[in-house]
Formats: sequence, C-alpha cells, structure tokens
Amino acid sequence: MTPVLEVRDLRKVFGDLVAVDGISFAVGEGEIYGFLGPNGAGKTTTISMICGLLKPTEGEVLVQGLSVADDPRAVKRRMGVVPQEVALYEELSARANLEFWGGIFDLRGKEMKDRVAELLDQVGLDERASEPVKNFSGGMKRRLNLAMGLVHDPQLILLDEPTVGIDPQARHKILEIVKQIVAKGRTVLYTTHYLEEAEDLCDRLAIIDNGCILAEGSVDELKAQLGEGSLLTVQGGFGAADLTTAASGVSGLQPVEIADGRGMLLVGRDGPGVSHALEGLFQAGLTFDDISIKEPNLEDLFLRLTGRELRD
Amino acid sequence: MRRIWHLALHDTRLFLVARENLFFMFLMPVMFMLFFSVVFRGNGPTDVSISLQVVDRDSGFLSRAFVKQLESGRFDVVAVAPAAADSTAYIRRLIIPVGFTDSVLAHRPVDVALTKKSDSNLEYDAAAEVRLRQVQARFLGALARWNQEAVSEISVADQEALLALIAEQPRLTVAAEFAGSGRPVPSGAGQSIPGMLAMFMVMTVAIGGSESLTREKLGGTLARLATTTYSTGEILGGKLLHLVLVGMVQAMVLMAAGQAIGRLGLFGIDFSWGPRYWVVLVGLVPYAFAVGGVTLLLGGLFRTTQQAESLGWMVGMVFAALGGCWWPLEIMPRGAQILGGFFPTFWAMKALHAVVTFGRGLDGILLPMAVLAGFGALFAWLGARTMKVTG
Ligand SMILES: Nc1ncnc2c1ncn2[C@@H]1O[C@H](COP(=O)(O)OP(=O)(O)OP(=O)(O)O)[C@@H](O)[C@H]1O
Ligand SMILES: [Mg+2]
Repeated sequence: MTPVLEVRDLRKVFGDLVAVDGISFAVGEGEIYGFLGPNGAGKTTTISMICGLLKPTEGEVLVQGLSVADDPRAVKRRMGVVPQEVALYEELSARANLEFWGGIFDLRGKEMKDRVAELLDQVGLDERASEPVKNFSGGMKRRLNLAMGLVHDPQLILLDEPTVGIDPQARHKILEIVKQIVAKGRTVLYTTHYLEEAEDLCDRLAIIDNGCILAEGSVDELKAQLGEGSLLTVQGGFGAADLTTAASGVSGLQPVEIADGRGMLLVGRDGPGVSHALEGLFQAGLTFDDISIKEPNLEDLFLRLTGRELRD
Repeated sequence: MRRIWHLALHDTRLFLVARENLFFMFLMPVMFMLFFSVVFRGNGPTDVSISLQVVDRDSGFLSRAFVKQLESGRFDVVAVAPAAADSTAYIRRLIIPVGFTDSVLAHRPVDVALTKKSDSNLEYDAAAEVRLRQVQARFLGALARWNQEAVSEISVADQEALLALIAEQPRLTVAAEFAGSGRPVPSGAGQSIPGMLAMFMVMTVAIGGSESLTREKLGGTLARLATTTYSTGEILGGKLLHLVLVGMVQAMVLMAAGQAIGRLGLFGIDFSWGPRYWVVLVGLVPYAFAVGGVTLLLGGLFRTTQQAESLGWMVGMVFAALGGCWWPLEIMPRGAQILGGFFPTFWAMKALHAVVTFGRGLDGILLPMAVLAGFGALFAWLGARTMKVTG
C-alpha cells in the first residue's frame, strides 16, 4: 500500500546553515508519526517543505503518491496544516474563522454549517463560538488553531507543536482530539519537544537533531536501543574515568552516558540487579551525592544519542 | 476570480470591524474636508484679483476709462509710467498703445497687448486672458451705450457719463466664465473636498492596509493561506482587490460626505460633485488600484506594524502634499508641478477637477485614468515581488 506521506532525502540549506540534512521516512494510513527534537532541530522546516511553503534544496515529498512539487493543489487539498504559531483572525469569532477557512476549501451552505458546528463541538468551543478570538485563552486559541486545519477533513494532518505553551489540562484536551482524528482513519505527523506526548501519542516516531533523524521506530523499539533494564543515575565528586573503570568491573552494568561528576548506567534486567551494581561501585571507592533508579525513557535515549538534554 | 473575491471580501470585513480604521474612514476625513474648505475659502483666481501691470502709453481719457474697466473686472492694476516701463519687472503686463483714445473714437481697430513672463502661472494667465476679453466686451458695451460720436470735443460731463457706465454692474454675466481653454484654479471647497477625498483614499488604504498586511505577514495567517489550495497569485490578487474595495468604500463615503456638506451649506460651504458623480466614481477606480498597488508594496517592505503606522502615514502625507491634495498644484512652482506627476494623487486630482470643476465627461479623463492604471500595474507588480507570502 502506498504510504499517505512519504519523504525522501529531504534537505534544506539556508545560506551556510543546513536546517534539514537528508531526512527520509514514511507514514501509513491511520498512523500518528512523531517528530521529537529540541529547538532548532529542523521540525518546522521539514513541515514547511512537506506543505509546500518552503522549496526543498533537495529531495521530494509524496502525499498519497502525488508529488508536492508537481501537483501542489491536489496535494494541498488532501492536507491540513496546523502551524506552530497560532495563526487566526483575532477580531473575528471562532465560527467566522472556521467559516472563512471552510470557504477557502469550497464548503457552502448546509455542508459548511454542519461541518463548522461539528468542529466547534469537537474542540469544545461551541459555547464561545460567537466571541472574538482575541478574548480567548491560549488553550482555546490552540484548539481553534487545530480546528482550522481540519475544516476540509484532510487525509493527512501536519501538527507542528500544537501544545506548546499551554497548561496540562488544555494539552490533554488537544491530545484527545488528535486521537479522535486518527481513530477516524486520518494520518498525523506530529512534531513536539515534549517526550511524554510523543510516548503517549505516537505509533512511531523519529528523534531528530541538527536536521538528522538519529533514531526511528515505535516507542518500545526506541527504548530497546538503550537495552533492557533499569537506569541508574548517579552524581558525586568522581571523575568520568573513575566511574567508567568502576562500572567495567561490575557484571550486568553498562555505561550509557558518563561525564565528570555524573553518570547514567543501565542495570541489565537479567543480571544480578541494582543493589549488586551499587555495591560494586561503592567497593571501587566511589561516593555519591545522589542516586536514582528509573525505567529508561526517550529522554535518556536522546541524551545518549546527542549527549544533551532534550529541553535546553 | 471567485476565490479572489472570497479573500477580498473577508479582508474588507476585517478592515471594517477594526475601530481605528473607521475613525480614519469617516470622522477624520470629514473633519479635514470642513477645515480645509473653510480655511482655503476664496483663494485662487476665481475670486481673487489677478495682478496686472498696465503701461498706459496713450494717457487719453478713454485709456484711463479702460483702466477703470480693468479694475472693475477683478484685475489688480499696477500702473507704470511709460518711461519706467523698461526698468520695471513684471509678470503680466498690458500695454495700451499711443493713440488708443483717438483710434477708438474714430472706430479704428486698436490692439492692447498682454505679455506674460514665461514663469508666470499658466492657469492664472489663462484666467487673465478670459477676464481681459470680458473687460473688452464690457468696455465696448459701455462705449456703445455712451454713443459718443464727436471726435474732437468731448466735454467733462460726457467723460463722466462714460465712467458712470463703466462703473455699472454688467447686466449680463457669463456663467461659464472659464469654459474652453482658460481654466481657473480650483479653490475653497472645490479644491479641498476632492483633495481630501484623494488624500484620505491614500491615507486609509496605505495606513490601514499596510498595517493589516504586515500583521498577516508576521502573524502567520498569510503563510497559512499559502498552505491551502490557493496559489500565491490568488492570495496577492485577493489582497489587492481588498485594498481597491477599501479605497472605493472610502471614495463613496467621502463623496456622500462632500455632497452632504455642500447641500447643507455647512459653514457656508458651496460644493457639489455635479451631475456626473458616476464619472467621478468610475474615474476613481484606477486611482484605488494605484493606491492598492502602492500599499501592497508597502506591506511587502514593512517589517513591523509600527513601521506601517508611521511610514504609512508619512507616505500618505507626501502623496497628498506633492500630488496637489492640499493646495492646487497650479499655484506651485513649475518644478513642483513636474514632481507631482510622479504621484498617483496628482492624476487623481487632475481627473477630479476635470469632472467636478470643468464638467468634463469620462472621455475627458481617459489620460489620467490610464496613467493611474499604469501606476497600479507597476506598483502591484513591485508589491507582488516584494511580498513574501510563504513567510
Ligand atoms: N527562513 C530561515 N532562514 C534561515 N534559517 C532558518 C530559517 N528557518 C529556520 N531556520 C533555521 O533552521 C534551523 C531549524 O529551524 P526549525 O524552525 O525547523 O526548528 P524546529 O525544530 O521547528 O525548532 P522549534 O522547536 O524551536 O520550533 C534553525 O537553526 C533555524 O534557525
Ligand atoms: Mg518549530
């Protein structure tokens, strides 16, 4: 089956800066594909090339087999874009915003009325539909911003950080809406730098940094790249070399990321366990100010892949 | 085209719900119309005496009577002795030749010569010529009624009888005083009301329009439009049509306001767009297009909405001043008149005066309309190249 979205060797160069450096991936029908990466990773640039706002320096984008470059109108009809920055007409009501957008996609009369009412209900703005958008809270604007991209019921929806800068409750609401969309068989490309969202929402995701995909797969597949087990994080007055030497003497303990005064180690599930590992490190003469044990998550994977935290 | 209208009507609706735009559209221009009409009332040659140096080489009683006739014909006569004529500077000079009195009394034709300096104001010159013809006609009329046949002996009483005839108000005034090639300089409300209309079409569209374009550019709604099935051409076409619509709404509002002011005679202002108001409206369409094009370019150039507000304002002012919205360009130096031709406002004022002041029809304003359409096309093209729709 042709994927709904297929991106091949996409590259974008701004002057000296390589914003997107040869990205390829494919998203199938009914799938939520996540793009997880820090600020400046190249998420928005990729989305802009997919939706035809930016011309790729190299590479191509296919939507249901149609090329964005060759057949932009047909592709854009199949695609709904929700930009990272809320882009609404502040003076107009939520309903008027949606109606204008519906008109853009040739909705008329009853069809328009029904669709707008349905969307207002879906994003929970039906009671405030007649108020000017400028009176809305950040979360309400985000919901309307999302609804605008759905007016023409597109097959492919590009969501660029749709939850950035809003409170957890409003974020939860948006995630619910996204899940509903996908339940109807629509396909979503979802960019975020919140890993909880990516873990919660995405069927598959790509971790991207500096314009490159560093790892790709389902959440479980990605976590497995760290190895099976628990993550032991230690802090103290030790040097990186001391910890590395000490860890190599303990069975079932693998370094993930080690620096002076700080270390992350994987305690293998099938090995002798956490207490054994800690004992081994103490015996090597190390002292710690702080010790924590947790299940590995994507944050840890990101740290391992890039040596940096996801959030700066 | 339907898609372009969809955008244009949407934008125009947005424009009209913004309160500050309404202030610019309704209140400000009407206040300006009233103010300028009252302040500039009675300027220009329609009401003002035209200065004229007279060299009376004849010094006969009829030449003196003719000078009297000139004075009552709204000439500001400065008499210069024939001996001093060569050394005196002048702008317009009338020379009454030797033997004027004798020739007239003998029913022989006689020429009075009107000379003008090349830098004199053309419109005033034309007005001077027309008035001179009227003065001659009245003078002849007075002579005819005086009916003095005697050539040699004319009593003082007879002379006074002629002067009395000259001093009489003319029985027939020609209403179309400046018909033909002699055009007056529009003054008072006849200048200010069309002037403010032309100025506020620029002001409203350039300030409000470039502000909203800049806001859309920065706020992402423009780029968002580009993610839809709309092409860049359709988006820019919609924006341009919107600006033209706003311009025409402004034009209609101010035409109605001008007509109402004249009808009510507010502050004694006498004004009407005349019977050909629809020609005015049609003539303003290419002007609105030119103003829309300029605004599209401004919207493409501006980086912040503050720039749009302050620089948009300045552009409006410069266009208005140099294009002849505030005062008739006819009274400006030649250089300013040539410079004015580079501004759409100049051609709009030309078209407005042609219809409103001189009663010309659509065929009389084809040139300014074509020039304005050319301006519009040029600026729209530049604007389309400057405006980055895709952010
Ligand atoms: N128009 C542009 N001109 C020059 N550089 C650009 C342009 N757009 C983006 N960049 C650069 O490209 C890189 C990727 O930017 P992009 O906006 O795609 O990142 P992002 O992953 O969306 O980040 P964020 O999470 O902050 O939205 C950044 O270094 C950015 O500065
Ligand atoms: Mg981004």
